[in-house]
Amino acid sequence: MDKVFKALSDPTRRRVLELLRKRPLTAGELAENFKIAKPTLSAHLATLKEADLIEAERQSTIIIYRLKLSVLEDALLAFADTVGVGIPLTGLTKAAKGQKP
Amino acid sequence: MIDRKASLISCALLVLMLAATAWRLALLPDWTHFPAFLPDKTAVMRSSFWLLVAPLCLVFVGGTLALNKQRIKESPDAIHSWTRWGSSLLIIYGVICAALQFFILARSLGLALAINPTNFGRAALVLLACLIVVSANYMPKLPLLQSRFTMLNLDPARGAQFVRFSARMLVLAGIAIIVIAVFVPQPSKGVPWIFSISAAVVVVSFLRRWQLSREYRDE
Repeated sequence: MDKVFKALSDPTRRRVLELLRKRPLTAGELAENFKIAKPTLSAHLATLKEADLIEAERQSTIIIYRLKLSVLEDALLAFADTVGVGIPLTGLTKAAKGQKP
Repeated sequence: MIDRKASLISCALLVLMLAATAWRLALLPDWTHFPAFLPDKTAVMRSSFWLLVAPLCLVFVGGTLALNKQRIKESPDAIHSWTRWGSSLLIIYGVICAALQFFILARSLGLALAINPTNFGRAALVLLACLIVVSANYMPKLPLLQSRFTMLNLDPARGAQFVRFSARMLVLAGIAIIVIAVFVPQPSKGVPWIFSISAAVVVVSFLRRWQLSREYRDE
Protein backbone atom coordinates (compact mmCIF):
# COMPACT_ATOMS: atom_id res chain seq x y z
CA MET A 1 0.00 0.00 0.00
CA ASP A 2 3.01 2.28 0.66
CA LYS A 3 3.92 2.06 -3.01
CA VAL A 4 0.37 3.06 -4.00
CA PHE A 5 0.42 6.13 -1.72
CA LYS A 6 3.87 7.09 -3.01
CA ALA A 7 2.70 6.70 -6.62
CA LEU A 8 -0.46 8.76 -6.06
CA SER A 9 1.32 11.53 -4.16
CA ASP A 10 2.79 13.06 -7.30
CA PRO A 11 0.61 15.30 -9.55
CA THR A 12 2.42 14.18 -12.73
CA ARG A 13 1.76 10.52 -11.99
CA ARG A 14 -1.88 11.32 -11.22
CA ARG A 15 -2.11 13.14 -14.58
CA VAL A 16 -0.70 10.01 -16.28
CA LEU A 17 -3.45 7.93 -14.65
CA GLU A 18 -6.12 10.43 -15.74
CA LEU A 19 -4.86 10.23 -19.35
CA LEU A 20 -4.89 6.42 -19.27
CA ARG A 21 -8.44 6.45 -17.91
CA LYS A 22 -9.73 7.40 -21.39
CA ARG A 23 -7.79 4.76 -23.34
CA PRO A 24 -4.50 2.83 -23.35
CA LEU A 25 -1.63 5.02 -24.61
CA THR A 26 1.91 4.47 -25.84
CA ALA A 27 4.88 6.04 -24.06
CA GLY A 28 5.19 8.53 -26.95
CA GLU A 29 1.54 9.59 -26.73
CA LEU A 30 1.91 10.07 -22.98
CA ALA A 31 5.09 12.14 -23.44
CA GLU A 32 3.21 14.55 -25.77
CA ASN A 33 1.09 15.64 -22.79
CA PHE A 34 4.00 16.61 -20.55
CA LYS A 35 6.80 19.14 -20.71
CA ILE A 36 9.24 16.88 -18.89
CA ALA A 37 12.27 14.92 -20.07
CA LYS A 38 11.54 11.40 -21.31
CA PRO A 39 13.76 9.71 -18.68
CA THR A 40 11.77 11.55 -15.97
CA LEU A 41 8.50 10.31 -17.48
CA SER A 42 9.95 6.80 -17.67
CA ALA A 43 10.79 7.00 -13.97
CA HIS A 44 7.21 8.09 -13.20
CA LEU A 45 5.86 5.19 -15.30
CA ALA A 46 8.19 2.77 -13.50
CA THR A 47 6.86 3.99 -10.12
CA LEU A 48 3.26 3.50 -11.30
CA LYS A 49 4.10 0.05 -12.64
CA GLU A 50 5.83 -0.93 -9.40
CA ALA A 51 2.70 0.09 -7.47
CA ASP A 52 0.66 -2.09 -9.86
CA LEU A 53 -1.45 0.88 -10.97
CA ILE A 54 -0.61 0.47 -14.67
CA GLU A 55 0.53 -2.39 -16.87
CA ALA A 56 2.79 -2.24 -19.89
CA GLU A 57 2.38 -4.42 -22.95
CA ARG A 58 5.09 -4.55 -25.58
CA GLN A 59 3.79 -4.72 -29.17
CA SER A 60 6.81 -5.08 -31.52
CA THR A 61 8.73 -1.82 -30.93
CA ILE A 62 6.16 0.15 -28.94
CA ILE A 63 5.01 -0.19 -25.34
CA ILE A 64 1.32 0.35 -24.60
CA TYR A 65 0.36 1.41 -21.08
CA ARG A 66 -3.02 0.48 -19.60
CA LEU A 67 -4.73 1.53 -16.39
CA LYS A 68 -4.92 -1.11 -13.66
CA LEU A 69 -6.66 0.65 -10.77
CA SER A 70 -8.80 -1.11 -8.19
CA VAL A 71 -11.94 0.70 -6.96
CA LEU A 72 -10.17 1.71 -3.74
CA GLU A 73 -7.13 3.01 -5.64
CA ASP A 74 -9.48 4.92 -7.94
CA ALA A 75 -11.12 6.53 -4.89
CA LEU A 76 -7.68 7.38 -3.46
CA LEU A 77 -6.72 8.96 -6.78
CA ALA A 78 -9.88 11.10 -6.76
CA PHE A 79 -9.20 12.09 -3.13
CA ALA A 80 -5.56 12.99 -3.81
CA ASP A 81 -6.66 15.07 -6.82
CA THR A 82 -9.37 16.87 -4.83
CA VAL A 83 -7.12 17.66 -1.89
CA GLY A 84 -4.18 18.47 -4.16
CA VAL A 85 -1.68 16.11 -2.57
CA GLY A 86 1.89 16.87 -3.69
CA ILE A 87 1.10 20.34 -5.04
CA PRO A 88 3.11 22.99 -3.14
CA LEU A 89 0.90 25.35 -1.09
CA THR A 90 2.10 28.33 -3.15
CA GLY A 91 0.92 26.47 -6.24
CA LEU A 92 -2.48 25.86 -4.67
CA THR A 93 -2.83 29.55 -3.73
CA LYS A 94 -1.98 30.57 -7.27
CA ALA A 95 -4.36 27.96 -8.67
CA ALA A 96 -7.12 29.31 -6.41
CA LYS A 97 -6.45 32.79 -7.82
CA GLY A 98 -6.65 31.43 -11.35
CA GLN A 99 -2.92 31.79 -12.04
CA LYS A 100 -0.69 29.09 -13.41
CA PRO A 101 0.98 27.30 -10.42
CA MET B 1 -13.71 -19.88 -14.21
CA ILE B 2 -12.74 -21.91 -11.17
CA ASP B 3 -9.85 -24.26 -10.59
CA ARG B 4 -9.97 -27.91 -9.57
CA LYS B 5 -9.31 -27.19 -5.90
CA ALA B 6 -12.23 -24.74 -5.68
CA SER B 7 -14.55 -27.16 -7.53
CA LEU B 8 -13.64 -30.01 -5.15
CA ILE B 9 -14.01 -27.88 -2.01
CA SER B 10 -17.36 -26.41 -3.10
CA CYS B 11 -18.65 -29.86 -4.15
CA ALA B 12 -17.59 -31.28 -0.76
CA LEU B 13 -19.36 -28.45 1.06
CA LEU B 14 -22.47 -28.97 -1.07
CA VAL B 15 -22.52 -32.73 -0.40
CA LEU B 16 -22.06 -32.10 3.35
CA MET B 17 -24.89 -29.56 3.39
CA LEU B 18 -27.25 -31.82 1.45
CA ALA B 19 -26.37 -34.92 3.50
CA ALA B 20 -26.91 -33.07 6.79
CA THR B 21 -30.22 -31.70 5.49
CA ALA B 22 -31.40 -35.15 4.31
CA TRP B 23 -30.43 -36.66 7.67
CA ARG B 24 -32.32 -33.93 9.57
CA LEU B 25 -35.42 -34.29 7.38
CA ALA B 26 -35.34 -38.09 7.77
CA LEU B 27 -35.67 -37.65 11.55
CA LEU B 28 -38.86 -35.60 11.20
CA PRO B 29 -42.38 -37.11 11.16
CA ASP B 30 -43.43 -34.58 8.47
CA TRP B 31 -40.44 -33.75 6.24
CA THR B 32 -42.18 -30.76 4.62
CA HIS B 33 -41.70 -28.69 7.78
CA PHE B 34 -38.89 -28.45 10.32
CA PRO B 35 -38.81 -26.88 13.79
CA ALA B 36 -36.73 -23.77 14.44
CA PHE B 37 -36.10 -23.33 18.14
CA LEU B 38 -36.14 -19.83 19.61
CA PRO B 39 -33.88 -18.80 22.53
CA ASP B 40 -36.79 -19.45 24.96
CA LYS B 41 -36.85 -23.09 23.62
CA THR B 42 -40.24 -22.72 21.92
CA ALA B 43 -40.33 -24.13 18.37
CA VAL B 44 -41.69 -22.44 15.26
CA MET B 45 -42.45 -24.70 12.26
CA ARG B 46 -40.89 -23.53 8.99
CA SER B 47 -41.14 -24.85 5.45
CA SER B 48 -38.31 -27.27 4.55
CA PHE B 49 -37.73 -25.20 1.43
CA TRP B 50 -35.58 -22.87 3.58
CA LEU B 51 -33.13 -25.74 4.09
CA LEU B 52 -32.45 -25.75 0.35
CA VAL B 53 -31.74 -22.02 -0.02
CA ALA B 54 -28.03 -22.07 0.99
CA PRO B 55 -27.15 -25.16 -1.18
CA LEU B 56 -29.06 -23.65 -4.14
CA CYS B 57 -27.21 -20.33 -3.74
CA LEU B 58 -23.87 -22.19 -3.78
CA VAL B 59 -24.91 -24.18 -6.89
CA PHE B 60 -25.98 -20.96 -8.63
CA VAL B 61 -22.76 -19.03 -7.92
CA GLY B 62 -20.51 -22.05 -8.62
CA GLY B 63 -22.41 -22.89 -11.82
CA THR B 64 -22.28 -19.30 -13.08
CA LEU B 65 -18.52 -19.09 -12.46
CA ALA B 66 -17.87 -22.50 -14.06
CA LEU B 67 -20.05 -21.86 -17.12
CA ASN B 68 -18.57 -18.41 -17.68
CA LYS B 69 -15.47 -20.13 -19.10
CA GLN B 70 -17.52 -21.39 -22.06
CA ARG B 71 -18.52 -17.83 -22.97
CA ILE B 72 -15.05 -16.34 -23.34
CA LYS B 73 -12.30 -16.59 -25.93
CA GLU B 74 -9.21 -18.61 -25.05
CA SER B 75 -6.55 -16.37 -23.55
CA PRO B 76 -4.40 -18.32 -21.03
CA ASP B 77 -3.05 -15.33 -19.04
CA ALA B 78 -6.44 -13.68 -18.65
CA ILE B 79 -8.14 -16.97 -17.79
CA HIS B 80 -5.48 -17.75 -15.16
CA SER B 81 -6.06 -14.42 -13.34
CA TRP B 82 -9.85 -14.73 -13.49
CA THR B 83 -9.68 -18.38 -12.36
CA ARG B 84 -7.72 -17.41 -9.25
CA TRP B 85 -10.24 -14.64 -8.52
CA GLY B 86 -13.27 -16.90 -9.10
CA SER B 87 -11.84 -19.76 -7.04
CA SER B 88 -11.17 -17.65 -3.94
CA LEU B 89 -14.61 -16.07 -4.28
CA LEU B 90 -16.33 -19.46 -4.53
CA ILE B 91 -14.46 -21.05 -1.60
CA ILE B 92 -15.24 -18.15 0.78
CA TYR B 93 -18.86 -18.02 -0.45
CA GLY B 94 -19.20 -21.79 0.06
CA VAL B 95 -17.90 -21.56 3.63
CA ILE B 96 -20.39 -18.75 4.45
CA CYS B 97 -23.29 -20.77 2.91
CA ALA B 98 -22.24 -23.89 4.84
CA ALA B 99 -22.00 -21.94 8.13
CA LEU B 100 -25.51 -20.56 7.52
CA GLN B 101 -26.89 -24.02 6.69
CA PHE B 102 -25.33 -25.72 9.71
CA PHE B 103 -26.56 -22.93 11.99
CA ILE B 104 -30.16 -23.45 10.73
CA LEU B 105 -29.82 -27.23 11.20
CA ALA B 106 -28.34 -26.81 14.68
CA ARG B 107 -31.26 -24.57 15.66
CA SER B 108 -33.72 -27.15 14.35
CA LEU B 109 -32.10 -29.69 16.71
CA GLY B 110 -32.36 -27.28 19.64
CA LEU B 111 -28.59 -26.63 19.66
CA ALA B 112 -26.67 -23.33 19.57
CA LEU B 113 -29.55 -21.57 21.32
CA ALA B 114 -27.13 -19.18 23.03
CA ILE B 115 -26.35 -17.59 19.66
CA ASN B 116 -28.84 -14.88 18.80
CA PRO B 117 -30.26 -15.73 15.32
CA THR B 118 -30.70 -12.03 14.47
CA ASN B 119 -27.04 -11.30 15.20
CA PHE B 120 -25.98 -14.44 13.30
CA GLY B 121 -28.04 -13.26 10.29
CA ARG B 122 -26.44 -9.81 10.50
CA ALA B 123 -22.95 -11.31 10.69
CA ALA B 124 -23.61 -13.55 7.65
CA LEU B 125 -24.93 -10.58 5.65
CA VAL B 126 -21.94 -8.42 6.60
CA LEU B 127 -19.55 -11.22 5.60
CA LEU B 128 -21.31 -11.68 2.24
CA ALA B 129 -21.26 -7.91 1.63
CA CYS B 130 -17.54 -7.76 2.53
CA LEU B 131 -16.93 -10.58 0.05
CA ILE B 132 -18.76 -8.54 -2.65
CA VAL B 133 -16.74 -5.39 -1.81
CA VAL B 134 -13.36 -7.16 -1.79
CA SER B 135 -14.03 -9.16 -5.00
CA ALA B 136 -15.49 -6.17 -6.88
CA ASN B 137 -12.65 -3.92 -5.72
CA TYR B 138 -10.13 -6.21 -7.43
CA MET B 139 -12.14 -6.73 -10.66
CA PRO B 140 -10.71 -3.75 -12.64
CA LYS B 141 -7.18 -5.06 -12.04
CA LEU B 142 -7.96 -8.29 -13.90
CA PRO B 143 -7.30 -8.57 -17.65
CA LEU B 144 -10.19 -7.78 -19.95
CA LEU B 145 -11.99 -10.85 -21.30
CA GLN B 146 -13.42 -11.02 -24.79
CA SER B 147 -16.58 -13.00 -25.46
CA ARG B 148 -16.81 -15.70 -28.13
CA PHE B 149 -19.87 -13.82 -29.39
CA THR B 150 -18.29 -10.80 -31.08
CA MET B 151 -21.54 -8.79 -31.00
CA LEU B 152 -21.25 -8.71 -27.17
CA ASN B 153 -17.72 -7.29 -27.21
CA LEU B 154 -16.70 -3.68 -26.67
CA ASP B 155 -13.35 -2.23 -27.73
CA PRO B 156 -10.62 -2.60 -25.02
CA ALA B 157 -10.95 1.02 -23.80
CA ARG B 158 -14.74 0.86 -23.40
CA GLY B 159 -14.59 -2.69 -22.06
CA ALA B 160 -12.24 -1.50 -19.30
CA GLN B 161 -14.52 1.49 -18.61
CA PHE B 162 -17.49 -0.86 -18.24
CA VAL B 163 -15.63 -3.17 -15.84
CA ARG B 164 -14.55 -0.16 -13.72
CA PHE B 165 -18.13 1.15 -13.66
CA SER B 166 -19.66 -2.23 -12.70
CA ALA B 167 -17.02 -2.76 -10.01
CA ARG B 168 -17.76 0.67 -8.52
CA MET B 169 -21.50 -0.12 -8.50
CA LEU B 170 -20.87 -3.47 -6.78
CA VAL B 171 -18.64 -1.88 -4.14
CA LEU B 172 -21.32 0.74 -3.43
CA ALA B 173 -23.97 -2.01 -3.25
CA GLY B 174 -21.78 -4.01 -0.84
CA ILE B 175 -21.33 -0.97 1.42
CA ALA B 176 -25.10 -0.31 1.33
CA ILE B 177 -25.78 -3.95 2.32
CA ILE B 178 -23.34 -3.63 5.25
CA VAL B 179 -25.17 -0.48 6.41
CA ILE B 180 -28.56 -2.26 6.13
CA ALA B 181 -27.29 -5.38 7.93
CA VAL B 182 -25.88 -3.36 10.80
CA PHE B 183 -28.51 -0.65 11.26
CA VAL B 184 -31.90 -2.16 10.26
CA PRO B 185 -33.53 -3.42 13.50
CA GLN B 186 -34.71 -6.74 11.95
CA PRO B 187 -32.44 -8.12 9.16
CA SER B 188 -35.50 -9.75 7.53
CA LYS B 189 -36.97 -6.25 6.99
CA GLY B 190 -33.82 -5.27 5.11
CA VAL B 191 -34.19 -8.12 2.58
CA PRO B 192 -36.46 -6.14 0.16
CA TRP B 193 -33.87 -3.34 0.25
CA ILE B 194 -31.08 -5.80 -0.56
CA PHE B 195 -33.05 -7.18 -3.53
CA SER B 196 -33.81 -3.63 -4.71
CA ILE B 197 -30.12 -2.66 -4.49
CA SER B 198 -29.09 -5.80 -6.42
CA ALA B 199 -31.71 -5.11 -9.12
CA ALA B 200 -30.58 -1.47 -9.34
CA VAL B 201 -26.94 -2.54 -9.85
CA VAL B 202 -27.98 -4.91 -12.66
CA VAL B 203 -30.19 -2.28 -14.38
CA VAL B 204 -27.65 0.57 -14.08
CA SER B 205 -24.79 -1.66 -15.33
CA PHE B 206 -26.95 -2.84 -18.24
CA LEU B 207 -27.79 0.76 -19.17
CA ARG B 208 -24.10 1.76 -19.03
CA ARG B 209 -23.19 -1.20 -21.22
CA TRP B 210 -25.90 -0.26 -23.71
CA GLN B 211 -24.64 3.35 -23.77
CA LEU B 212 -21.04 2.25 -24.35
CA SER B 213 -21.96 -0.22 -27.10
CA ARG B 214 -24.04 2.50 -28.82
CA GLU B 215 -21.01 4.86 -28.70
CA TYR B 216 -18.85 2.04 -30.12
CA ARG B 217 -21.31 1.33 -32.97
CA ASP B 218 -21.63 5.06 -33.83
CA GLU B 219 -17.85 5.43 -34.26
